[in-house]
Amino acid sequence: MASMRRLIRSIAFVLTLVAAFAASSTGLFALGSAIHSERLSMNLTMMIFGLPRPLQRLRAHSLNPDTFTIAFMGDSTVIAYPEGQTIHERLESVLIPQWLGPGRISVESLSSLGMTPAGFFLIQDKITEARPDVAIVTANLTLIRDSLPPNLHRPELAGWVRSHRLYDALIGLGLHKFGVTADRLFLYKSIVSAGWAGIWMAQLAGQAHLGHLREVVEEAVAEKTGWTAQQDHTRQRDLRRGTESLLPRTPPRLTRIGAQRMVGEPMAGIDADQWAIRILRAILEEFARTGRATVLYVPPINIDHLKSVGVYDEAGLAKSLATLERIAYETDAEFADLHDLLPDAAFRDTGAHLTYAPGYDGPTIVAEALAPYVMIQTRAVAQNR
Amino acid sequence: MLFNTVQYAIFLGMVLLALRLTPRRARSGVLLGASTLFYALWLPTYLLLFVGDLVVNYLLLRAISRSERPRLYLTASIVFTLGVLASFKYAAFAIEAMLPLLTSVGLAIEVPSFFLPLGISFYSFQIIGLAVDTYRGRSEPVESFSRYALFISFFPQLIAGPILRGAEMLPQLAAGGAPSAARTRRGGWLLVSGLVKKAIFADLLLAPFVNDAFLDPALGSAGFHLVVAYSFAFQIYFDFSGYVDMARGSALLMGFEIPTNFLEPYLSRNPAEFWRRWHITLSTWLRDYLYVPLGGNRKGAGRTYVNLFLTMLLGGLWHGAAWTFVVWGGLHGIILAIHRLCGGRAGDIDRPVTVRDIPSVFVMFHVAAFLFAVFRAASIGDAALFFAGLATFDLRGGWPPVQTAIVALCVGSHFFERWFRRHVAALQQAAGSNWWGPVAEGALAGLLIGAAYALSGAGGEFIYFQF
Repeated sequence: MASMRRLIRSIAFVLTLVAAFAASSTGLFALGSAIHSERLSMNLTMMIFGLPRPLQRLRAHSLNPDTFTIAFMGDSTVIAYPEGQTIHERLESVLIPQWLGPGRISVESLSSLGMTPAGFFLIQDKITEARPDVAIVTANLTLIRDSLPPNLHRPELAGWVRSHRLYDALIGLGLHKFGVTADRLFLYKSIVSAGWAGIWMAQLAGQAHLGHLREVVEEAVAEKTGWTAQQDHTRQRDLRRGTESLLPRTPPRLTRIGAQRMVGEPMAGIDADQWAIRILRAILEEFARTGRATVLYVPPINIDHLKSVGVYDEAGLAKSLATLERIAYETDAEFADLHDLLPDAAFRDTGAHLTYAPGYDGPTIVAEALAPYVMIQTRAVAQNR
Repeated sequence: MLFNTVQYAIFLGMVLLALRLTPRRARSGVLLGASTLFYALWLPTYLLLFVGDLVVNYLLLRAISRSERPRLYLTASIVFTLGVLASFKYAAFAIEAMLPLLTSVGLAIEVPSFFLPLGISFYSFQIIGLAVDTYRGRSEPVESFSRYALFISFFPQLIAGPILRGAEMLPQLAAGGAPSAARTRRGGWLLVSGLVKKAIFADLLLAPFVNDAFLDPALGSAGFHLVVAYSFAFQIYFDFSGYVDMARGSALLMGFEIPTNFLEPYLSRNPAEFWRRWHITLSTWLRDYLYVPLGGNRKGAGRTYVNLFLTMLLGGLWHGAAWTFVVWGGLHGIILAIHRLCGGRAGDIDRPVTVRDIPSVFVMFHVAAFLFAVFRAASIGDAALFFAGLATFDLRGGWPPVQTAIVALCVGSHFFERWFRRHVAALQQAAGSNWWGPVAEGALAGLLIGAAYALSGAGGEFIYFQF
């Protein structure tokens, strides 16, 4: 009798626990969906769900012998523009008139917000499987540093890494430094293998929405009560994030501390044995091994501003660029170094995002400067086709 | 593997199931296998280093208990363990500190860059503690390598403590644990409370604000700086004590009791009491294996103060290879020495906090919080900027409203925790003797786990993992 009573109590406990868990998590996820802004939603969608569709498009193009496909692997500096004005779209526009081969040339973006080389390493097998003719690999100087928080490297993409690269991912390249520990790798691979990636990504998106709950509450409190940390609270918050004021008509700029945090490593001189560089090299080597022609592209950064806040170190930066050039040379990649292409006025924010106004179309300038490097590889591949 | 992750829930569930299906005498083997897997699931390559460390130290431990010259082998064990720890954790720091000197004499040495092996600071102290206890005859000689390896690698405490003693843990491991309904229930609740502390308080409510603020520690009014200091004090408390709750909860589910590390430290009335409530297993380790061997308080007042200072200085350095940790530890040492010089003692930590204690609790909390700002700063320069911002004494404005409310919630939760600890037995008894007990407990646990899961975002890492 006592054991029956214990059993009934245990069942009641478990059933209530499961029901309460479902109620509270579902309720909070619903709250998250209700509060998110359109911009946040779009960014998250691009970060979490952004890659499968371009990969499918890339594969579809590659299967078509009349299409010469270029895969552009980049971050927000490539895609954070209105439709039709992104760098990969501008590049395609520049390349089409120069294309003398049969069929058509197409540039497919595999770019995603904040995507680092570590993230691309994890999905590289999917990219090579899609057989692009040329791959453009972005080496953004603000992102190829070892000091980035692990979550920025998208360890969840480890779910797509192929078995033959597990050793490299876990041990050879030290991806644990970027959050890809063995436990995560096995969990993510299991989820993807089981076909639950969609459900899992939706959960991640829900959690990410709720991560912004604080901002929403802070804004609501400020709006309702007028109580903020101080009068220029917005400015204060931006300063804390290492940026200068959002004064009207003045694009925000990094403070010295913010700039130091963002580009301190490349300014100090990156060596070939640095983790981020080793991963970049592994990507290029894999493309070389599988016969893909590549371009290693260094996007523009705001050199004028870095000089003005005293963070620019010519010798250190030259060393970093020489390291990148060497790995490009050793893996038969073209090295498109555009880091100092643009003046301060070309940057619309603290990152490396460009102004795209009709008067100053940053993406087009970059696309035109990048095109010759891409054409070298394109011609080489087209001749061998 | 972080305790607040899905993969840990799966791992723990599988271990519990395996233990359930295994006869008692074979459970140690299952636990050792699980602990080894747990370590390897972080970074497989370092498993070799870990096993090597264990083999060498086990051989030395046997020599301590059997040889005619135990002191020699004890010294060898301590030197070896600290040597491995120093190579990985302090080599780069030491070379960097000496770089100007080395360069001036024409030596060009590259600063090495190692990834710190998981839990090395904690298990190194546990290895040394057991060796010293065996030498002193306070722990029975460990006759099997597997028992020794399990004691050091027992997965709930492997990566961030609590630092266990042989006398309290080895007999439990020999018995294969003693699971019971009461322990399962207590363990389950500790897991839930740890999850809430870590995922909701530390990661969601406190970490984003603190991380933002320390990006540029000079910015903001004195009021703003106060909220930053309070926030980090609570963040590190919830982060670490949440982890320890989950470690204890996991161990209890398997039938093992491991000690707590925290007893509402911010309700301390003086510095000596604070160190009896904060990171208890570390402070008692430092007392027994460093302060006492240095002479403790047996060699006169002056030497006592020096010993206190040195113990805390080294305790600070144990937290990390950076000057901020050294200064943090050193300042705590000075404060403890001054407190002792003024005739202060820890007193009875079980004595309830009364209205009369409020001023001393208030002062001690601020001392701890301000010193934690040094601990958190990226460099001594950043710490100086932080205190310069605080020293403007402008408290009229600049209080971030949401974060100020969160800090108030944290203060309340600290008092609640103390109340709950004292009344939990009565509450459980009431729930156990009523029909609604399991429904109420299930609903509360489910709500809290669901909230922690939904709010956990990308999942932060435990601050203490880096030590």
